[in-house]
Amino acid sequence: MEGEIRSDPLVWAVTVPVFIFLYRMELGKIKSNGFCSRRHSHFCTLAPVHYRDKLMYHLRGAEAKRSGRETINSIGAVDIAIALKMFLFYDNNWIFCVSRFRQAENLEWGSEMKVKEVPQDKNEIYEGYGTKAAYAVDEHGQYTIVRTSGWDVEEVVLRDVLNDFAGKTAEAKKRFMEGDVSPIEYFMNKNLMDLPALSYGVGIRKWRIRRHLKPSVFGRLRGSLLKHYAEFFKTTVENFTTLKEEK
Amino acid sequence: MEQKPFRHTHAAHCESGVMSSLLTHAGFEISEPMAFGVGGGLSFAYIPFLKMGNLPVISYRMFPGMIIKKLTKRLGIEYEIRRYKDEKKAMDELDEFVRSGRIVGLRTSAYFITYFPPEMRFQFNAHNILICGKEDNEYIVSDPVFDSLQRIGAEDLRKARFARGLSAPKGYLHYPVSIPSEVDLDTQIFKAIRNTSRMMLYAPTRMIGVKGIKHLGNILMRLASKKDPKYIRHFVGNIVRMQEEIGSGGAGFRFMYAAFLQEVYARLGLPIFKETSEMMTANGDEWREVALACARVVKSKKDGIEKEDLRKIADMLAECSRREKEIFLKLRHIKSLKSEAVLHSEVSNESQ
Repeated sequence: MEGEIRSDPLVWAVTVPVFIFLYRMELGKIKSNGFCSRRHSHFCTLAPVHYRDKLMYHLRGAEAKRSGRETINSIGAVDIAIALKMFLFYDNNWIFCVSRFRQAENLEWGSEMKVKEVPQDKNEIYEGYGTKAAYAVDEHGQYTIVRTSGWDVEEVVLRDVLNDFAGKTAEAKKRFMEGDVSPIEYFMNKNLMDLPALSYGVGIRKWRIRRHLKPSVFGRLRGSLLKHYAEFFKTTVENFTTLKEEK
Repeated sequence: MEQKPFRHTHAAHCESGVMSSLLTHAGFEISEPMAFGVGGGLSFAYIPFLKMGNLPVISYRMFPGMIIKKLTKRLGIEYEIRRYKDEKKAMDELDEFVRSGRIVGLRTSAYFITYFPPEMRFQFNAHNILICGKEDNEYIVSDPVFDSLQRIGAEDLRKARFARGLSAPKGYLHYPVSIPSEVDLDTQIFKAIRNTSRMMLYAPTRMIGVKGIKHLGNILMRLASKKDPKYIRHFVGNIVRMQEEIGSGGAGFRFMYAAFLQEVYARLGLPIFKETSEMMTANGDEWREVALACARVVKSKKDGIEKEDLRKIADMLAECSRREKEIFLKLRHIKSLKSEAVLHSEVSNESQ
């Protein structure tokens, strides 16, 4: 939509306070009861992001409650804000823009997970392993499968867990070098397991593994048991007992 | 046996993807959302006494294996499910199936799967894959979560099939034997949706269903005062991992269910499905907001956890719970609408 920004400063001086008033009118209220989660990008020109989200939940929720229906056809603060924005930014054809905007809004009912909005954050973890699939809505409102290279939220959360394990692994290696603990702790943390998980996976009871963690007991274990552990940890017996090949 | 070439499809979730692939290959076209919906896959459970990595399990779907059983039972498909005690026998039979050209589904442990990124090889025993061939000593795997065919060595596959632990796979193998010529999909859709709604709304404990979602929010608020920040960060991260990481198609299967409802609308034409599909999409967006808020808590460099942040997440969870309740209240009496669907199709036939 082509348009010219309105150049009259008096108009701006009047409409911008009204716009701000609309925000402040809604901001202090309790959490909305509506369920529309549309995002209107026109707000971000004038307000910080988190205000936008909060405002949307409130405005749509309040309207839904008033009208008693899920579909929003009544005029509310949002529509006034849209009209104001068009008035300010599309001087020559603002009425047309408002009607087009409303038309477009009614067509797609409001899903953030549109195809073009599926995050493609190129997660490091998926690098070289291809894409994941997610369901999203295309421009006709039809669901389709979309390949995504990841959402950074997933990466953040997974990295938190992996960093935690990495820390424990480093500590386990240090303690092994000092002779405080057997190599089992190192390999357990390296393979992203805790004691119960290891117990389930390797088929040895937790109390026995706790004993095996002591260097004195570990030194007396028979070869077949060491081989069993080493196979489960996907490494050789030599590496398992001495951590020779571990960086 | 028809030797139709197998087509690998990229899907969002392993179990529903495998069922959709298998049944389509066997001659019954079914998409992943439909397999998920009719298999009654959608659920929510906060299970505090079942722990993975010292954190309680938060499940967004039914138990592993339920989709396979329910889907095939509802569609009336003759299905073979085998478990083995003898590892060698299991691998020999698998080789026989591969030789005869039959595509079979397996359940494996993610720990031994070599084509997974190393950071994702957790101790998790419910990953479903399809075997569609063998070359030299490697099996050609159609893993629906990946976008192309993968390979795995025979020895690694054997270890993966017989890994020990919680819900051990025990060489779980399954394939369709025969598909009946008449499958009354419409009736089963109604049944499945009604079942899911009742489970979400009327589950006996407050840890399951829509009550469970709200309960999770309450638990979060209780944690704020009791546990140390590190545990809270992990707990909050766990919510997100269960929702997004374990191949759910986004928003803990909610988008997949919305896609299912949309497909049902396209098939049956009742406006209630269109409405609930849109409502479910909006609900999915809300879940994504939860994930975002949780990630912010995990990422924050502050020492302590702000109670305000947890309160925001708890509020959002309460909102999700309210929305899902609304959706399932609408869908709960779906069986009574079945006659309307018949009328609707008759009317549309007449008007054409």
